[in-house]
Amino acid sequence: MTYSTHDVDETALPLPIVQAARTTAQEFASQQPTPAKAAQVRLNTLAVWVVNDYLQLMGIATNLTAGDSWNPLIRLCADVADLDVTDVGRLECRPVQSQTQPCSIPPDVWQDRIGYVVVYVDESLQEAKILGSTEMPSAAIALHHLRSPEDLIDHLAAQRTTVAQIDRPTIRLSDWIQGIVDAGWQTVDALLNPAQPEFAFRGLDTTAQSSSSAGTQRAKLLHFGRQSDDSLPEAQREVTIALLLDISPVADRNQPDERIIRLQVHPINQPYLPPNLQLTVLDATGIVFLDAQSRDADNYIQLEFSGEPEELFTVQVTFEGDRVTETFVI
Amino acid sequence: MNELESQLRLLVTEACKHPPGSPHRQKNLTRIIRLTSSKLWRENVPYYQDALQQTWVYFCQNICERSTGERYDPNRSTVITWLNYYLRRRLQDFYIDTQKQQSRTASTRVITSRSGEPEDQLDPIDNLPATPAAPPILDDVRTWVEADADGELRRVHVDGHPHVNCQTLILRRLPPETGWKELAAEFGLAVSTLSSFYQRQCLPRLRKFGASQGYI
Repeated sequence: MTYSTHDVDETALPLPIVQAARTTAQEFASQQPTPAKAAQVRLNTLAVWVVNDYLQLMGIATNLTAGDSWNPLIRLCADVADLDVTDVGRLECRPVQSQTQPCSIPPDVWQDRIGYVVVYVDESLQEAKILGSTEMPSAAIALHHLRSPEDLIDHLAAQRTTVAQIDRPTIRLSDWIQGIVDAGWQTVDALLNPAQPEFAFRGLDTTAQSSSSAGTQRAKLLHFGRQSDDSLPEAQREVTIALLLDISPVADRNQPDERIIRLQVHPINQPYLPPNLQLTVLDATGIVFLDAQSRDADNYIQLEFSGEPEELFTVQVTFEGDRVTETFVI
Repeated sequence: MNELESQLRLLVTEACKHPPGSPHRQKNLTRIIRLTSSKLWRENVPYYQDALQQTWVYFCQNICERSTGERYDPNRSTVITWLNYYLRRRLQDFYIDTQKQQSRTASTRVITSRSGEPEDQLDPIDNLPATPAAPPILDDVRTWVEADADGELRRVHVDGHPHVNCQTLILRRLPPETGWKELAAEFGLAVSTLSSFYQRQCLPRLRKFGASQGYI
């Protein structure tokens, strides 16, 4: 007996395909240059429509026309079936015409999705079934590994909560560059000197160091309680760490607006970070796109990425179920 | 009361304990749709799926609270009876609509209908000139990408692979497109590297171009 799999037909949710869906799907298909592409667009459109109808039934707000699947240029250039779920993110709706073959998820949509819903569309294009969903894209997903439509509801609700949590005042990094510092943030010198003169942005190569006049660094102390462990002496129950953020222009003069963001987490008054401390970066839609975790005896952990002005990202530091969240605009 | 009916009764009670829009309500409504779907009245008519969709809308809105209609009363009927009653009324409405439409098209119908295609009606609206062919988006994109007026598409490339740039990748992915696996083998890169570059660097530029051309 296996517990990880189930009969897809038991959890599948049958739903109608309305005439307007078929008309729209046909219209989108007729704009395609090849029969294969037309067939792909027709099914993608139907899958998105069915999931949209379902979420509408459930009272979950969506914006059908906001996605790439409704963009005539993008649906021509990529195999896309995304649906914008309001305040949650883009849900990919993959059509299948078999209930036994694995569902393939094209590389075109491996990024920037809150989940993947698999929709069976019958041959007559009259009836559909939501077979289930998954959060992780892979080239092919066996249908019996899909999570049920009920799990999709929970997943969307959880995603909405995350987005709501990060929907807080944002810190403008462009202000930092002009010398304005937000509450709680200090220059690295002010925070760490003279206590730890050796403390600096580590891991930067020399070229970055030499051009660091262009970069701006700020640090913030974060405290994590360890109330659960009463056996520890008082002083060890709280873990204090410093979150450092460095923003600097890229060396490439072809991308003058592009900025490199480096995030580091350092221990304070301890040689090492506690293990399993997690540093996470989420994009504007609340999707995790970078993640690092401390192991035994790590001096610090670091994440680095690039972005353009007005791009939004959220940093989370998580330790033993306790989480600090900060949202930034580049 | 049979087993299914008592199960549905429980699910309705459970759904209605939670406010509209809550995951508990949504999940129980989903379960009811799954269980009742195969028990509903069926007809082989082109508008059946539309009538069914309207039935599900009605179900979700009135099962717990009075909204667009009377609230469902479990003491008066089973869920299936209640849904079937509504579904058949909607089917009737669609039928009447279709009849009206047929009388509107009757005069022109005679001319065009052939014996083999009795359902192939001609609506006067169909006689309007066809909308001009879809804008040749493919040609426009290709011209724009090949020209690459400011050299940006050639300049932005996969790290360490100057020849794998936006221009090359967009052209290769225009239909009839080369598969990701074939491209990965050709360039000696992972599929995920290519597709990630395509999503992060190529699609935003295509969206921008599309917006500038007014493709909506």
